Amino acid sequence: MLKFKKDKCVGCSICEIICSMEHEGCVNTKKARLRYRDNWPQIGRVDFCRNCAAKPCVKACKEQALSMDSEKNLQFNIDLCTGCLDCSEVCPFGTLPTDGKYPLFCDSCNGMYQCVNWCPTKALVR
Amino acid sequence: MSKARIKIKFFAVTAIEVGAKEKILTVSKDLNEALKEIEKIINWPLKSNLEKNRICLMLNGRAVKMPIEKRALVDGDVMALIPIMGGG
Amino acid sequence: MNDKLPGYAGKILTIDLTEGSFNIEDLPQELVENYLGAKGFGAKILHDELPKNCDPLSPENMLIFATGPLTGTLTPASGRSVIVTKSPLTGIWLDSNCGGSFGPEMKAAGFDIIKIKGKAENPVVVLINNSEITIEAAEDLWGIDTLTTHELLKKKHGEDYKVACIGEAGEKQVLMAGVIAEGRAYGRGGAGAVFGSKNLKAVVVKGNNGINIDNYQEFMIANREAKNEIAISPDTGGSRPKFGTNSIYSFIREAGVLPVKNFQGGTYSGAEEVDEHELVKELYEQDRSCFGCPIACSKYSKVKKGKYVDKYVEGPEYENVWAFGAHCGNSDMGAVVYAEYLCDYYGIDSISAGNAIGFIMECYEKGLVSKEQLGFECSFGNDDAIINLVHLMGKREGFGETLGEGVRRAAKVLGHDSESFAMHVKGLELPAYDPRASFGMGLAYATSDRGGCHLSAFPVKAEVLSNNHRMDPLSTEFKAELVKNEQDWFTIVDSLGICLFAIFALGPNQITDLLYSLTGQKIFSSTEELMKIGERVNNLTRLFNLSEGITSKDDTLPARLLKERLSEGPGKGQIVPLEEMLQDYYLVRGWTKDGKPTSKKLNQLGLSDNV
Repeated sequence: MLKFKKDKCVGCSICEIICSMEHEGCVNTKKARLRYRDNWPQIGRVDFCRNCAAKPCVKACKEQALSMDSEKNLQFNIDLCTGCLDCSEVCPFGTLPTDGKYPLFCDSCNGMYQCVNWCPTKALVR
Repeated sequence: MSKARIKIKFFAVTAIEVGAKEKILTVSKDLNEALKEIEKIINWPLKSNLEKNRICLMLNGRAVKMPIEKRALVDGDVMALIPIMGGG
Repeated sequence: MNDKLPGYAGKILTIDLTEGSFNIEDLPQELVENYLGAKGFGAKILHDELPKNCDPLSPENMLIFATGPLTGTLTPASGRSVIVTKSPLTGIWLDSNCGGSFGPEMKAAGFDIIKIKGKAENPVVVLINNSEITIEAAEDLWGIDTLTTHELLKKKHGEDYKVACIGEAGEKQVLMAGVIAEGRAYGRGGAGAVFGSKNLKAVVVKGNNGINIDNYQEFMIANREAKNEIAISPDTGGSRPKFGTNSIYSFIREAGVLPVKNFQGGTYSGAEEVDEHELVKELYEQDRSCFGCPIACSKYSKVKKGKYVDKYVEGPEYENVWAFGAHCGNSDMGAVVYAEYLCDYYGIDSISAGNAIGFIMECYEKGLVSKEQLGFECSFGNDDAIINLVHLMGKREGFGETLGEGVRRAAKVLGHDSESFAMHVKGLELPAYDPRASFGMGLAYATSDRGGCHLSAFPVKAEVLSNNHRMDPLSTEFKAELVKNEQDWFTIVDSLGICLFAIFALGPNQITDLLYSLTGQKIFSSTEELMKIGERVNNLTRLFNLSEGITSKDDTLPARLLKERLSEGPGKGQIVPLEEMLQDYYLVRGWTKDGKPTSKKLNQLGLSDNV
């Protein structure tokens, strides 16, 4: 489970960079599963799917692209996704990143948590 | 007298690690001896930081050559330990 | 995504504001191999395409935004980009460098280079959304400060856009006006005035193109090593994250290199109380990073008490703590915060502005300018005068009209030998280092391609902050090689699109590892070839300057530094022995005694067609 510690964040976007590299093989922060949103001149926050207990997105998805695994972690199948973004609508936090068309769900890099490895200030932790 | 009363200044992160911006100490006149004594007093790895080029030693505003030259301190000398930095 | 050029966006956007048209072309391989990126790209384009001797404030001048191959990547401190243009302040070469996030966004939109020519009939904003380019009317933004301009443009077009804009100073073509982008600045040399002369209020950009990586595994290995080096360095992993650029403040002062009261020296009330620890205690509230940077040297500061309570700034930076502080005999750091904030607000270079204020304070104390002329008292230490003058320069009003044109022009207006203490080189105001206590820095100032600059080479590090006994700050020995090598190396950094602070921890081999694994360009795998590119770019900027009228006579320092001896400190009694260093420098550069690249040197660098 990924956690964000706002008081440690410096707004560097390294989490976005490494996330996009890990998942897409190139650098493209618009495809990262987390998103830094600035609040200049102060530090803003990093948003990502928190794998919450409620998961109203699972029910909301008409294509059944969203499901839960045996450990109740969110599973997303992009091949079934039509980009309707209903999941984003019902998200209780209202901050789910998208790439403009499709939603971007954190999958913890299969437990590797690259963003946690690369965050220079330990603002992202497991 | 084989001792000298000197001022040592610490800067940036070194000041935080040592816990002071400056100290006035009475130490051996011989520079090398004095550095050993200072290391004990401030409880900070002075010698190894110098050798690893993590700090620069200045005496009265001029950098001290490495390896530490043989030198006699006098009362009123001002020593400075500076973290090696780039610019601003 | 561009399959051909990993590391690069792959396209050049050219906008003609007169015609209201644009065109997009591919980034040529020859430009990449010979000029690398950012500053290098700008040098080649400005040299080749700018009409000779053009008026920098005419439609003929060009604005060239450029990123480097490392911009926007995992490489440490990868947020940087440049604006290259002919400076209206100096009349010569200008590359103005900016951190933050504008450069990475420009690259994400798909462009390594954006060239802007001509002049719009009325105020406009250029809007870039990937390859959708719009030139939009912006009369409603004219007269608005840079901070509000950012807010309004993002509200109108979307929060995910990044903005580079001018304030009132640029609009009124104040010669030291800069361009503000996402809290950082293309500060020096007057790029903001060039924007204003084109009726260009802002460039607004967003994009979602990726940057390809040639060898993913090697790139990750190189980045892990770089990450580690940055973290263990006492600079980038120690003092700089804690104190920001002010980490050097008190020992620069200790070394006698901190200039006081327009380089006159001496002391002033409260001087000893200012240091990096006080700034942390009294002002700093949060750490901030530019894009891709683990160092987080930037700070959000707020004044907690006193006259300037509640004033805030992203900063204050070392250069401004000096320029509005010791340089003006002022120890009120609240005033420094507010002055720096106002420079952002109006969009004006804080180093030039602060330097000019110290200059006019000396003029005031010498009776060359009166209270009546200024409208207020203006002795050293008068913080009200500092704030008043920033307002006046930003608005181009009152005495600010003259002062905003730079100290070189202001000295001509005021006369009475004020030229001898107008502290500039080639028209660009000097920053926070006194070269009479650091001779190499004097050579660096005298020979930088854009004028009095501390970022083209930085000998202060080797002379003052190093254990290497060869670099005696009060000796001329080895300084020519030092300055030449640093200029070439720093030019490479400025062409890569990363921050200089990264190379206080990373060496050339680590840089080539990062660059080669990212781009796959064979020529970038050799540090020798890379240094050659740096040398090529610096010779090209020299050729540009020569054709714009620079001669070896301009490779000089203000009379104060050549004739007035420092009165105290480690540099006591010194003046800068420039001439012998300068002749050594020309020799080391392969230039004639008159400072011109020889044909042999130009041949060696593949530049002989450029004369």
